[in-house]
Amino acid sequence: MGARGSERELATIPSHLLEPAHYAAVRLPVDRAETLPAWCYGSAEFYAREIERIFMLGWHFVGRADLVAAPGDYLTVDTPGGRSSCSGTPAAVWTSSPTPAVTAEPACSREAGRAEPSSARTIAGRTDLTAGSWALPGCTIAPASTGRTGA
Amino acid sequence: MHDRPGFDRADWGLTRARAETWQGFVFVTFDPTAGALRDHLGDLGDKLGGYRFDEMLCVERRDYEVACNWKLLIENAMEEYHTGTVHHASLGQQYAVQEETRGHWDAIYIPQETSIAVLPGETAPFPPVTGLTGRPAHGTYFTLLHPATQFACTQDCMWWLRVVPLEPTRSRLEVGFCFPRTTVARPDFAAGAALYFHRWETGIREDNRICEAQQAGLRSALRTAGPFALREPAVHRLNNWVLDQVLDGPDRRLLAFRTQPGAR
Repeated sequence: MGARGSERELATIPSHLLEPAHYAAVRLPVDRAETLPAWCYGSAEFYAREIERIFMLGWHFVGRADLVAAPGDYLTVDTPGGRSSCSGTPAAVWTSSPTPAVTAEPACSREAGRAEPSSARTIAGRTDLTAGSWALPGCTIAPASTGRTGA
Repeated sequence: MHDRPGFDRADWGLTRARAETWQGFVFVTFDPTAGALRDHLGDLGDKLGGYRFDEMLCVERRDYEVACNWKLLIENAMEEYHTGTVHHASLGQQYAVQEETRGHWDAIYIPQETSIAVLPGETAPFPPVTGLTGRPAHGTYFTLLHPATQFACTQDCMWWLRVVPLEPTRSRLEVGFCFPRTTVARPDFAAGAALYFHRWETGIREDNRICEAQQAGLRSALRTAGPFALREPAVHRLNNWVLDQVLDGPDRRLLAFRTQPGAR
């Protein structure tokens, strides 16, 4: 059990915070385990590792198909880490026409989760989007907004 | 670039990724080595398929920016220990049991014969999902689809939550509210749905506030790790799932390989 009461010590961030030994107490059975150290909730280094190994891998839910059911509907997909991680633009767009597809559209603009008119025009103007799934390299995903191209 | 020998615009276009759907939910992976979605989801379909999500409509989406790490929102969503304090004047105390799962998902279950999607004291106006039987007919599942998606499934509707990490201490919470198509088609849907939206908005704002307060507490130099309450084992499992992914070492259990029920 961790330090408490008069035994409590100031929390410090270790120099090698991804060393498994720092987490031995978390690995114990729940009735003897401790919560994650505070740095897991604020450290840039720990966060970067989470983005790399969790949000860049595996499958991620991005939205409901019924929200983009009509031909030309689209769902933009944002990047974990915010705008700075990928030039501040959505990483991918999921469209329903002609068949469900995920497409990258780095030219989209978006503010506060709302699709800008320019994004719809940009998507509608693309002629090289074919059925399939596409994304910008180096980016991972999160849903941002939905819209309709008018197609 | 037209003057660069050998440059072909087609080589520098969009990169193909993969998308699959399950019961109306769209999933994407950018990992070329990822297995099939159905393998990732394990027995989710066996446990929750009865809700017939593919016959639901997402009637509204709302986004919230929350000043906390993404894990705090997920941890909060996967234990009911906080409900007696954080939601004492609204949702009230809830009591959950743990669910055994296989795949990259986890769940707690709250036995309750009526929909949990309206406030205590109110009567849910809509019928249950057609054909709902077994445990889903007698309670509510709060599930976590690793890493940061939750499906909350009750007798007459479901709502999904997705946490998007923006910075180490800032996240966006995206929520969608889904009802069966037959419910949405009812003439009294708008009036009845107002009860649900009020309950959801109340609970979400209370959860967001406590997560931001928790993040503020984590900044204290006096903060140290503490014990888990025995009513939050899913938080312990989540913490260890995260460590499985991010740490190197012989104990590392990679994202693709947790397939046994009750692992950790």
